[in-house]
Amino acid sequence: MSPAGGKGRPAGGEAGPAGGELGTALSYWPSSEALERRAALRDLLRRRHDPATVRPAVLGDEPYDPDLWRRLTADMGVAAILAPEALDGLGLGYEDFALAVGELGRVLYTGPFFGSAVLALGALLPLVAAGAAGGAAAGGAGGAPGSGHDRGDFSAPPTENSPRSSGAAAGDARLAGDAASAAVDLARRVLGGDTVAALAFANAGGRWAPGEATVTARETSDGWQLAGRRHLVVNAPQAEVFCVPATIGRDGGPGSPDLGSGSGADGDSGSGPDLGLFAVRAGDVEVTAVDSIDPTRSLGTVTLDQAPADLLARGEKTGQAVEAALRLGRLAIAAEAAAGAQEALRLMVDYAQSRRQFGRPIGGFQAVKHKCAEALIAIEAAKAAVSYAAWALDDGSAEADLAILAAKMASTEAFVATAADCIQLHGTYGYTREAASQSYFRRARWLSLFLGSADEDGQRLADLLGV
Amino acid sequence: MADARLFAVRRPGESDPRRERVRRWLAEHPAPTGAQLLDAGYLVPHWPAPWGRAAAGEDLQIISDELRRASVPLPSLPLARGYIGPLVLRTGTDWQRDRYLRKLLTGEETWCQLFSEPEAGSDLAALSTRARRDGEEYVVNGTKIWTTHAHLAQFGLLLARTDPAAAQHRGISCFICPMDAAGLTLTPIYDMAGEYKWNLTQLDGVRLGPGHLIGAENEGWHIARAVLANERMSMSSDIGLAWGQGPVYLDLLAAARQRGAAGPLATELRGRVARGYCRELALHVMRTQALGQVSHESRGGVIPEVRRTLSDQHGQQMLELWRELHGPAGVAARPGGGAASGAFADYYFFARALTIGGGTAEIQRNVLAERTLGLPRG
Repeated sequence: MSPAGGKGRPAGGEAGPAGGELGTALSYWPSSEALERRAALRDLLRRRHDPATVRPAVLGDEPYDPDLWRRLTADMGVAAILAPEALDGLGLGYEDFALAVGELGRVLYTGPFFGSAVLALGALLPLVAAGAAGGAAAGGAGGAPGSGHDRGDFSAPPTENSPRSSGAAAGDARLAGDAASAAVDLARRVLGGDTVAALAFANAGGRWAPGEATVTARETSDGWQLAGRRHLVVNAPQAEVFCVPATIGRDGGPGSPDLGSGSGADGDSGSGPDLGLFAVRAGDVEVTAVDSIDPTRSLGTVTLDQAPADLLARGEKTGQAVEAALRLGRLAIAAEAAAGAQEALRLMVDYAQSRRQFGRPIGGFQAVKHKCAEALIAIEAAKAAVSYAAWALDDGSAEADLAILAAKMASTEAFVATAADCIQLHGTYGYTREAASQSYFRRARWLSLFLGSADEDGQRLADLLGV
Repeated sequence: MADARLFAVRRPGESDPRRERVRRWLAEHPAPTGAQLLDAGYLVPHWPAPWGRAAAGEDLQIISDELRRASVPLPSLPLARGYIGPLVLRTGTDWQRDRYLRKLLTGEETWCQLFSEPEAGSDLAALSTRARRDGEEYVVNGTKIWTTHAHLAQFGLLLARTDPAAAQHRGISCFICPMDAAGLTLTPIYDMAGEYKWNLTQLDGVRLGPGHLIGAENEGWHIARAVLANERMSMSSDIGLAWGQGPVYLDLLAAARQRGAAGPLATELRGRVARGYCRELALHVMRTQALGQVSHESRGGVIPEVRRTLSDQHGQQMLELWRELHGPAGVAARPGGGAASGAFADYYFFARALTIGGGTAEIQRNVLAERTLGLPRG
């Protein structure tokens, strides 16, 4: 149920009802607490992250400001919003998450939020929840578990704080316990901002294809080893740890590494492949940076050649974890796109007011006005859909998957159109290296394609609607 | 998933005790009249007493849910609830509120809007109908057009120029005009679908008393703007695809499934059904957020022109999609069968009016650009 459900509504503030006639206890507005948290985040970003400086031309070798990332994670808890309090998370809901993601999207935040706090952590959180239920998260029982681990040291053997089955307990149970414990440790460090992680899930086509043995795992006397290649890994160049789903070779025997061909779903189509989710240290893989249409959203190819790995989950939990991450990714894309579009519209309107031609501001021409009005309409619709999707997730509604797709379609289409019009209205200035409009266009196009295009989402949505 | 569970997130639960009170009343009044609904506070629950119960938020959502579920035919009076009613409530004198509001709300008296003129449509402030002072009274001369259902109305909300020397927007006043006044004549105008919808209304020496003036003299333009904004909100406040009336999105969904059962649906058509869901979802949120607004002024985050434009585009697109789903059979005026299909057929041509009436889509965009985004006029 909604963690935000009981909070004081309606909210004041800009998104809330202005007059007294609106909704006592109407849950279609963010809570005032959520808006306060958003305002604090907005304030920090306003002071520390000017979107005008994220142009590719001025991005140096340092792709993001590590100190700001620490502030965002340690002080503001942007990566900890959805994590349970038992894990030092904030234990808040998707509405808060969407509001925070919107703030980051508005300023085109360049740090590793999407790769680490959305995709990687989005895969870890379901495991952590399961682990907590099963007692493994009781890493928490011993006081500050994980605090003794150094950064990146996720593969350290369980400490004395970790529960170990004694004596007769089955090896499987211990394995599951170790895996859950590793997931808890990693999740804790990712949500605290201590470790940057990335989820390496995609094949060469950019898709999650669990039936393809793109990466295979085998268990050796030294532990698990992974072989294969993952593509279009977000924030790969910055990541210290990769979460990698892999196909586990039969009988623990050698899997067949499938470097790059991406062809081979293995023969048995009866039951799905045995999958596992693994954690691999960045130092144990080869990362090749891939030029991204949005350089602030970096990409890389990750090649694993018998890379030592820690098991985080095995069996159907693996697919569920990846699906959960992608679903959270879709919501984040929608929230980012709606907010980014709003900012692109602001740039466009500012310019239309100040730029004079034919003796008057170009914003006085109807052709210009209508472009701006169209953008506003599309953006307001997108924001409404994003809110609904977040509420649907908070309430555990069966409509959540439909609403997420709708929000993603509406938001990314609004963002691409608005960012394109923003360039158009700026004339040749808009096409220069220095123009901020190009950064918004790059982000818009990136968001509109990663995890599937709006047309693809539309077909999936039609399926869900039974059409 | 079941259609009944679409657009249902965060609706108050079925077992919510607040529903019980409404259900009990509906059980006692299975076919309530407008007057009964008004007296119980269910006709305009969001209005202050004595007309409503100042309901807000979930209480309002519950009342609206329960009335819809019980298929209570609310008097179809968008002018009353949506824009003329709020105007009289806010701007009228005590005498005017007592005289007009109750009968307006129950539908005992119906109203029309005497705004547009042959030479003043989108440019409404250019209107030339003149109201000249003659002692205590006003004498009105001029021609109005597109007066919807003037032939059925007892009163009209009239805009006329009281100070021709003042700047365009400043010399206009707003009146309540009895439609049986001497000197007022109607000429029918038929719409594209063949319905007697509008009138050409001629005012030739129509005399109005001081009690017919609403608001202060020469303050009519502010009133007109408020009424138009209320109208825009009102037109998009219900779930029907045609200004709140007619078939709804779930009907379109059913039609698409029915068509899909007969053979594979083109990818492009499926995509349009999905985009329709996106729009419907956004409108659902905006409608719910604006629940309980008596007028546009208390809109709190929902921008009337945004919701209205979105709603009109949506209605037009879904009505066209419904026809295109039928392929070649769509050339028949009433393709397919069933009640929902009939509703689509009834409203099909009306889709063209959605982006014209109450201010054209182009004017809405100007309003948004100038008033919401702050772009320069002109």
